[in-house]
Amino acid sequence: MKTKSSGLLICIVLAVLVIAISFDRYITFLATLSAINAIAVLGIVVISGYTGQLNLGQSAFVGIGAYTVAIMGLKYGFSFWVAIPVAAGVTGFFGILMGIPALKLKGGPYLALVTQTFGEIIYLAIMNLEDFTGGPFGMLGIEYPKIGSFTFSGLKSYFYLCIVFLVICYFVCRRIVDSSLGLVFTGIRESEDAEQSIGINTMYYKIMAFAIAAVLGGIAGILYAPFIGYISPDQFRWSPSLLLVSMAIVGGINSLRGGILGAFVLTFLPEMLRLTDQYRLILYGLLVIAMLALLPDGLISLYGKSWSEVRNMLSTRIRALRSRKITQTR
Amino acid sequence: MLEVTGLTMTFGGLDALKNVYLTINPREIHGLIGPNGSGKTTLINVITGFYNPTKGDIKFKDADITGSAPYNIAKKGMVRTFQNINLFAEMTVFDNTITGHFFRVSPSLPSVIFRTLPYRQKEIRTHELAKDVLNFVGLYDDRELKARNLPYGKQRVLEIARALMTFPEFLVLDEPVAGMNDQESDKVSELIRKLRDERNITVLLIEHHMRFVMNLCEKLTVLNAGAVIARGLPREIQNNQEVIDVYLGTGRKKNVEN
Repeated sequence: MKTKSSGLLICIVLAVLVIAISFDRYITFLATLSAINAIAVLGIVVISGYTGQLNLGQSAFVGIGAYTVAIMGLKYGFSFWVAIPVAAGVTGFFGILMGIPALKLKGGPYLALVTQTFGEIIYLAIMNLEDFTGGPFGMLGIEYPKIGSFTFSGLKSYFYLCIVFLVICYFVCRRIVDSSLGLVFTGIRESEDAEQSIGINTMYYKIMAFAIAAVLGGIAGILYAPFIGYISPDQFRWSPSLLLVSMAIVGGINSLRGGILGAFVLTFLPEMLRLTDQYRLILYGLLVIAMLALLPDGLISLYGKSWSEVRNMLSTRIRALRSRKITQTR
Repeated sequence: MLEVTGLTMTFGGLDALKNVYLTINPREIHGLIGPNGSGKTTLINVITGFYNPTKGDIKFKDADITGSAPYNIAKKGMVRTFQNINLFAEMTVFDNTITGHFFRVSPSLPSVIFRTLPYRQKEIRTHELAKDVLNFVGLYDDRELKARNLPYGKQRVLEIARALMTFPEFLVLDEPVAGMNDQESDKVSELIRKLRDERNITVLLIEHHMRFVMNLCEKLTVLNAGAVIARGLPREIQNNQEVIDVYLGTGRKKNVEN
């Protein structure tokens, strides 16, 4: 169990963040967005990293979470806090639905197709249920959460709110993956046949992993809706799903901390470089290719290594690439 | 313990198994031998639920398991290992071993997240069991190594260790000593005998190492081209002309101890 060292790392990172946001509203904005993305990326790490099921439909769950909060707040007057368990339940349910066709599929391309199509169906549903969701016009004016008389409407206070959620989600995921249940998920990735031979119903646990990923996406959506204030169906289509997966790959798809790192890197970097939309996509693409080629375990795999170790890792990898000996990306 | 009746397995136009009958009694160490391609692994795949037979029945402990899913069959007490080693390569030896016991514990998601006392106690117990099993098979010192970094012979033993953690009643081993030298295969032979003697485990194994098979197995079934051509005691099989013709060869008799 690595909980002790990750605890220290988290404290350091949080301290850095807290200091950084006091300087600049823009940084606070980006940091909050990063935290929200990070929660969704944690879901990707669980389903695609540990369980090995490629998921290109994660932003659909972010959308479901966002719309649940928006509809419950604007149409029925429920508070943000009441919407949380409801959104978790709804996204969990749809996560299970996404998992079912994926059960018999073996292989990235098929999963990519099924999960992306599922995301597209959700998008179309949101678009077409106009009375419920406002259709293509979206929903505006989602309220900030309140505790008593205090409203989280300030940029800094909302940042702290999101960080709290992120930390809670991280520790819940940490407990899941560091347990024998986490081993079951990894076993599905490594060898489903072997898992079946030792009495484990891999289908049940695959669906569980999809549901967990979906709920995490939903929580990100719950935080996203009041933050941006306006939600529309096209914010939750396949493009942001690709971005979330890219964040996981860049940070380290098999690591919870890697996922969070990737979310921050890919939220800040394009902004810092002042890139426009098309150039952003090129950046993400290049980074993902570079990562898969050189650092398949993501940026987080550099953590704790000395320069010479890093140099060794890279040169071994480059040599292997040159001699074309690699048949998998890991 | 295990009764296979009239088992036929057809893939497209190919009859991989033809009307196979097999009976294995409790506490028996039963060997399944025959030339490559004779259907041994196919038979095992069918028995353990990885394939559905075209025709025939399989009864385990007097209950019909034909067409059951592999994990259900494993839960009933029949656990198999694989011809091409099927370990969780990226996990450590210790973690590989732990997974074997998971279905007996099957913690719920809330108990894992909240680390309830019963859950923690069960994890501790599983860890203790894993240590015992690893000591039993001699892999305890390697427990922190990644499974894919183990030498081949130890990987095969690890698969058996993982299977043991399920507390099986019936072990089906597909070429447990493939690629091992005499010393290593003797250790495995001893291990299997201990499993039967001390833990009452019935064993069905496929192997090509004749010395290993003839010394360990009490009964043999010989397959050729999907059909059973002989069954009986090792001594009888060694003297069976048809078996000699298709598989053993005449030179073999010199290498086999009696």
